[in-house]
Order: sequence, then C-alpha cells, then structure tokens
Amino acid sequence: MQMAIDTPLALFMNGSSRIFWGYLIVSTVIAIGWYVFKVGAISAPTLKAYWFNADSKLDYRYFVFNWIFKALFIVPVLLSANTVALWTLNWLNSVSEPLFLSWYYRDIMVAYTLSLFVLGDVSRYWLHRWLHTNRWLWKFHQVHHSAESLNPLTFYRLHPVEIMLYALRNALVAGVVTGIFVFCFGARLNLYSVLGGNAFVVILFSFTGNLRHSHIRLSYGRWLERLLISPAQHQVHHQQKNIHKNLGSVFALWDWVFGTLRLSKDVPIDQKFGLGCGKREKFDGIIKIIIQPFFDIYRSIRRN
Amino acid sequence: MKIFTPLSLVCLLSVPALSYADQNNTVVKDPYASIYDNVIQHNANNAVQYCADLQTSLESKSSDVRHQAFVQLAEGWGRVQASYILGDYDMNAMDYPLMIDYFHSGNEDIHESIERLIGRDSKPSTALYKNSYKTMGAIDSVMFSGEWSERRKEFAEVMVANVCKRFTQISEGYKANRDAFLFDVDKGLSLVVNAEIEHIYKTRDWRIAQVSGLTKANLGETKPEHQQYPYSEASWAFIGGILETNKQLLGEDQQPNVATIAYEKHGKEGIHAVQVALASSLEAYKNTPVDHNFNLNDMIPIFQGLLDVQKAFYRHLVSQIGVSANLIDADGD
Repeated sequence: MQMAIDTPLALFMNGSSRIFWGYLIVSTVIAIGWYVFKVGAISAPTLKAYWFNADSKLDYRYFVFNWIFKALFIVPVLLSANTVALWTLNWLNSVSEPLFLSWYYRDIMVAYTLSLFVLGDVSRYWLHRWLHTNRWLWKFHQVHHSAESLNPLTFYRLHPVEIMLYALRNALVAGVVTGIFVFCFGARLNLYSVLGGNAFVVILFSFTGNLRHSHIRLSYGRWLERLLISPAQHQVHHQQKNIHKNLGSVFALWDWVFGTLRLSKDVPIDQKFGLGCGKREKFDGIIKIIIQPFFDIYRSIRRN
Repeated sequence: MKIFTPLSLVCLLSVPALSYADQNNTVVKDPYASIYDNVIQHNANNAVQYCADLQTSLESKSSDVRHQAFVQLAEGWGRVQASYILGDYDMNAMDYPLMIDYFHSGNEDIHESIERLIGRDSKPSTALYKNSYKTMGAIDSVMFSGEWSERRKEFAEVMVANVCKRFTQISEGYKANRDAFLFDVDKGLSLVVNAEIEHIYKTRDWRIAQVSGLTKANLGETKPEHQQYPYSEASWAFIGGILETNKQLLGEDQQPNVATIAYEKHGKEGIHAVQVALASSLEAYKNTPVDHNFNLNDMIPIFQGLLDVQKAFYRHLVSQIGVSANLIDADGD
C-alpha cells in the first residue's frame, strides 16, 4: 500500500489524511468557539483578510502542486513501506525461524497500532529536528517556515526534497515495524483505526491537528503540554524566536526529553510567524519555493 | 504558475470526486460463511468420522484395513490443522492440537516409552498416564512398529479414544463459535490466513526439509525416521491434507473462499501469485514418486513450491495491511 493520494479531493475524504473533512469541521467548531470566547464576534472582512491573503492563496496553489508532485514522483519512484516490510521479513526469516507467537488477536492489534504510532511520531520528531539543525536541510525546511499567515494547508507547504525525506521516513518506520510484526505474529495483523486513521493518532491529534497551522492559540495547559503538542505550541514553533523549539508532532514528550520543549504560556502572545523581515519574498511563489533552497545552497558553497 | 487559476483549481479538485470510490468495499459475508462451513467445520466433522472409523478398524484382523484407517485419519488431521483457529475463540481449545499430536514438541522419544510400557503388565489406561502417550505419534508407534497383538490393540484403543475425544471437542467447538467468527470477519479471516501461513511453513521446514536434508543445518542428510509418522508412513498423507485445505481456501474452482474476499478487497494480483505457487506445490505433491521415502531430490519441487507459497502470501499480506495509508499523512510539520 502506498500513500493514498489518488486525487487532491481524496485527501479531504480520507480519514487517514490530516485535512479529512470530519477533522476540519471539528477544528472549525473549536476555532469559532475559541475566537468568540477570546476575541469577540467574527466579521466578514476579518475572515476575508485571513483566508485570501497572499500566503493563503500561495498555500492553496502549492497544495495542488504538492499533490501533483507526489503523484508523479513520490508514489511511483520512491521506496514504499511494503518493500521495506518484505526486506525486513526476508532478512528475519533468513536468520531465524518465524516465531508465530500465540498472542491474542486483540493484543497484537493494540501492539501493532501503538508501535506504528509511537515509532512514527518519534521518527517525525528526529527528522524534523534534523531539518532544523542541519544547515543544508534547513535551506529546504525554510520553505515551510516562510509562511507568515498559517492555515491548515500550510501543512503541505514543503519543498519536494522534504516531501521525499518524510516519505522515506514513513516507508522505513512503517515497513520495519510491519516486517517485524509479520515475523512475530504471521497474518494475525490488523490496525485499530477510527475513520480510517490510526486510532491513537485520531484520538490524540486529528481533531485539533488542523489548528496547529492557524491563528487559534489553543493551549492544553502547562501539564498536558509536556505530553502532547498543542496547537499553541506549534504556533510558538512557527515564531521566529522559537523556531527550533517544539519539534514534535503528537507527543511533546520527545521535546521534553530531548530539551526542545517550550510551553505556550512561557511565550508572549506574538503572532508574528515566519522567517523575519524580508524573508517571505524569497518564497512567495511556487517556482521560488522550488528553486530558492538550491540557490541558497549554491551561494553558501561559493561563500565557503 | 498561471495554470493554477481558480478555475483550474476547481476542476482539479472536482473531477477526481467522480472517480473517488470507497476503497473499503463492503464484502458480502457469504465467502466467510462458506470458509467456516465448507472448510473449517466440514474438515473437523470429517476428522471425527475418520477417527470413529479408526476405532472400528482396531477390531479388524486385516493390517491393511487398520493402516488405511490411520492414513485416512492422518490426512483428515492435516486438513484440520491447516486451518485450526479454534484456540483464538476458546482458550481451552488452544492446546487441543498438542493433545492430538505431539510432533516436534518435547524431547521424549515417544516410541521408546510406548515400547517400554507395552513390555510391562500395567493396565493401558494407567500406563498411558501422559497425554503425549495418547497422541497420533503414539498411535503410529503402537499400531505399526511391531507385530499386532491384544496388548497393542488395548493400548491403541485408549490412544484413539483420546484423539477422537479431541476431534469431537474441536467439531463441537466450531459449531459453538460460528457466530463469533461471522461477527468479526476481519479477525476470522486473519486467523485463517495465519493458520495457513504457519502450517505451510511448518510443513515445508519440519515435515519436509528437516527430514529430507534440505535445511542449512542438515543439508544432504536425509533422515526418513524423523518424519511425522515413521512406522505407518502416513506423514505424506498428512502433508496432502495440509495442501488440500489450502486448495479449499484458495482454489479458483473452490470459491467462494479466501480468494473471493481477496479479489473483492484487493484485486487479483497478490492472491493470484499465492494461487499459482499453491497449484505448483499440489502438482509437485502429486508427481512425487510413491516410493520417495523423503529422498532429497524428490522433495526439492514441493519444498520450492511451499517456499514460493509462503513468500507470495507474505507479499500479499504486507500489501493488504496498508500501513502507510493509516498514519495520518506521511508529510512533515
């Protein structure tokens, strides 16, 4: 099974996608409630200014480009989780007999779903951290941080190089975990899913996931923000001063353990997102997004 | 990027909506009921009958009749074990296979123990105090390793009664758990496929490779005495039973079965490879010379066929799990 990107619209219809319509509706309800409670009445000009500013329009266009790029280059070419799972399985079978452990079906499902969730999340943390700490990769990841206005589709504003890295990460983690589980338990493998997505991800993340890239500063409070990344914490991550903090996806635990945690209450409410003065213009079109990182790398190499 | 006008954006988003079809097609339950009734339950019922036939044959003076009855039961037992899933519905049933057949379990030489007990004068029901002394391997030993006698018959009666009791429990257990199987068909199917893969592997490795010298550890050293039922030589029938159940579950001409469900859910490609490899294994089984005695060269085609079945099964299995689709986007943050 490869990434489900049959159509751009499929992403809105698929429960394993971040922007599934159900999650968007829940996020919208939360956002309206939060806005009315914290700010006041919602006006049409405010909505227009948010949904139709230059960054938002670029995100809409780039969302379609992102889909086309994946459909043409990632899915057919890149290593799939299936291939990695079979490699893992064949290697394990070559060094040992299959285990056929007699666990209960339900327990295997819980263990498999949880393993995919936890290992998937920790691997996202480390790849994200690598994108921030490696000077060459940061040039590509800057694309995502160039947005000064955040909306749910900003999630898809990623340079193709970064898309490939995340796809490889997914193939490796999901493939190795699946290979090991098939080796241990044979065919008694299934995933606990809710709305088609990993149950743990849906329950702990999906309904507020779309608020991460928004201006709705929804905090989980000091205690829970050490465990789960709140939308407010991810917005802190998009602020220039804290750009290398809060690198986690679902769990804040990794940030806490590895020293990159910043609680939202500890950061002044400063809605200035992006890379800083004058940087947005470097990434304000699709062509620029694709070319600029390579140009920056070339300049760095020449300078050194 | 002028091509991305609002109009083209709308078109790109809308047209695919027409092609977006629900990938989780609802599969009618008929194939599941068919698997349960026509394969699992049917084979268990047959085993009960074959066991009763063996009990009757113990009264016969003809060694051929007794031998034929045991071979038939071995084949029936292979059919039951190839899709044995009762243990996942009834905890007590987890150990029934071990109570029927002790092959590849423990280090005790059952034949030696049985011969020692026959030599004593204790009552058979007392002498055969261990469960492993009342299993298929023990029956094979007592019925076919020495001259048929009243003492051997009395021992065989106790052993066969034990095995028959277990087969009856399995048959009754399946009757009691039919609704549970059909209540969660995904679980049921994964248990059936798992049983298939497990016994394809064990048949290839334990019952063929280790006997004929096709494992890394014993390459070239054929040891027919290590086969499952060395005295009756009914091991080959057991292997046939395993293959026949797989044919029932996957055969193109045996549908509705596992293949029917795989076609509907995932298309023909993956499961077709399993079917082809299984057909090759069945062909190799049929073409093996009658007097093979687990000769290495005679075993290579079926060994290879079963290896291909296992690999094709794994490929199909991994592709149908759909790991990456369920992760909530593989992208970054």
